Amino acid sequence: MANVYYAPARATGGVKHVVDGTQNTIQSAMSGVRDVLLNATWTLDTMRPGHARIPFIFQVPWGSPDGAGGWTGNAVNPGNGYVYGIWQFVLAIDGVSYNFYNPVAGQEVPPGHPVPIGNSNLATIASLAGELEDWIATAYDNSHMDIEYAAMTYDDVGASSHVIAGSAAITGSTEQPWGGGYRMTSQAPSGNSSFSIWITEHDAHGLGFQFPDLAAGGDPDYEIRMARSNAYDVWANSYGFGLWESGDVPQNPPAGDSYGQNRSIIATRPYLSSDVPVSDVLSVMWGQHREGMHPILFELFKGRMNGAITASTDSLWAFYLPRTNNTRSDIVTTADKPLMVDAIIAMSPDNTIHPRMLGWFTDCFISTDGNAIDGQAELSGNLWDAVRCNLTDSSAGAVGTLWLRVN
Amino acid sequence: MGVADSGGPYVYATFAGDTPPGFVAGIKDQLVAAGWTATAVTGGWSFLGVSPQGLSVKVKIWDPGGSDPIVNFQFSSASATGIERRVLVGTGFEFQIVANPCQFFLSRPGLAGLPSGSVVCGGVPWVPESACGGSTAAEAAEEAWWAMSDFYGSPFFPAHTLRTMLLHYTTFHGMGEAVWNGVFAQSATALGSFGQGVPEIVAITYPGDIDGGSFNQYETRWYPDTALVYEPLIAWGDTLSAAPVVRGQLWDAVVLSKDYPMDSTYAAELAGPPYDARSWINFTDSYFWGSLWLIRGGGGGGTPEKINYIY
Repeated sequence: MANVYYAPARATGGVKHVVDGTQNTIQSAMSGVRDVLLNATWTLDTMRPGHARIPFIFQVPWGSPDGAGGWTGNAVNPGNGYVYGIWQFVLAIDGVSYNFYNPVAGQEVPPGHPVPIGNSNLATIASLAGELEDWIATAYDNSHMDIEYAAMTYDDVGASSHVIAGSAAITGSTEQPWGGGYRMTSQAPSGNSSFSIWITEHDAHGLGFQFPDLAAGGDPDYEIRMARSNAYDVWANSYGFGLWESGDVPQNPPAGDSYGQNRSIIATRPYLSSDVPVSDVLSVMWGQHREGMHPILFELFKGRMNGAITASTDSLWAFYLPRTNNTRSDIVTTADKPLMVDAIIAMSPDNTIHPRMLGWFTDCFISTDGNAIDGQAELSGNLWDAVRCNLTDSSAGAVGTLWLRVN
Repeated sequence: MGVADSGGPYVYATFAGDTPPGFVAGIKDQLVAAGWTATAVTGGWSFLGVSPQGLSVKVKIWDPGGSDPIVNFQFSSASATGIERRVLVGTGFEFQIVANPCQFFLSRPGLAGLPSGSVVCGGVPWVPESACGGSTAAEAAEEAWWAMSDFYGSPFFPAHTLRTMLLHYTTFHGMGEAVWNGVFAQSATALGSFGQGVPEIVAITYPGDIDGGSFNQYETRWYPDTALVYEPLIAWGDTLSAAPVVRGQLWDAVVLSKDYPMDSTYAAELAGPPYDARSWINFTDSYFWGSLWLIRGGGGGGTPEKINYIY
């Protein structure tokens, strides 16, 4: 039989993930995923509450007198607290930056998320803060912002010369219904490392997964967002986890769900071949479908090898599969049964050369045919009593099914 | 499954092919040494090969006489008689053979193919006795053999064999034939015909489409640029045009997912346990998707274990 490397433990479960106007289903989905991972011997490192008070800072840069009794550029007059002319400021909430600008001046300021605020080119800091409160309440599902501290600091070098430099700032925090989550850590297969994830509610709209190990430049918020759905299946073993929409395979992204369009994800530390001089290998795949094997079908991939993060490019990873002739088709025996082959993951070591085989997805093997998702026909009474099929393709020339052991 | 090890005898030998009678005598010695039973026929011998699983095939090898310096081969079994194959002999010609009790690979050292014929290979494969928890009627083979050779009548081109590639490209000439429980898939009535049903070896490749002509593809490699070692599954269709079906695997052989020059006897992938329990020779000449390595004798290593990439 194919080589299958087993993790010490496995677990499965199912979660609902429907946004119904409250955050209950998100919280339920998060805790459901958490429990499956706990049953698969992951550890719960820490958690953050769902109603977090997120600090923010609101800064308005100074401008300068225009010599005619007015102000030019971005400006706050420290003498009276008024904001003049063309202004902008940046608000940072939970790692996301928003640029605000004066709609009268009409100047949008990339990068970020330009948001018009204020209706005048003359406003006080206090009035801007009030409008900011309104904006947050609208944009973030009636979350509430408390301005806990407001201060203006400036350095009036000389009133007579009107040379002024400094900044105005409002600091405070906002209570949000998002931002909660669980940080969990896997076990490490021999020769490899563990990895951690945040199970998150990425905002009021859905379930997400953050991968600190895939965070380029220390960005802790690299997040894969899942589409809202009636139900997801969850699978985990000690070294990885998978989550996919229950039931049939949608062929299109969920309509109108701009917050999360992914319907499947599988992330694992492979069991590395002893002949492969690499370490710190992490493989994460996700996409809008539950079909895969062919890189163009499992849309997105990101990995980590030897401490470096690999890119999400079609040609940089693969499961290599048996074939006959020069077109891919089912590979079956005379009894019309598929071959069972090793689930060896190949990744490009440096994002430029072809993928190289590294090791095995644990508790997995591949059959060389397409199968109905969740099907078990070929395996009943056989290798495992019950398995789930995560990746299936029958449409674009790539044939293969990744089977996951569940008990 | 792993390596289907026949237990031998494993024969690797070279012999002279100066004349048809000399060639016939030379190959007889090697096939008999490998365990085949020889029965005299006009101009040559009929050899009976029996696999460790009890399946058998006959091969008649004879000097047809006449002016052409050729030797003919013809595989057969109870239900089917294959096409007449041939190799060209001549002064100074040297042949090599890798044989076991039920299959052989004949070629000339350093020569991948010849329009006049230089390669003949075939025999009985290992067949599944049970699969996925229970045998089925379809898998219970009572008759199974395959054969191919490079002569197909063209004055310019040889047909492709496992000496030149593992996969059979439907646009390439093939001279394969095979039998499975009385179903005879062969190109005898259309020498050199195209067809996807011609016997071939399953190759492990990256998931995209591959090209039989220009191999600008992703090679199948481990991270250190070493090959994947896997079972030499043989597949063919019930007819020349039918989709290939996996029938079993070659005895005493492995596939390395890397191109090696023909007749190489060293590959790093086979230098350690469990493969060093045998000595090996590469039959396939620098084929992008892999090479077929054959056991040519006992090695100095430990007890061979079974690889098991596929079952």
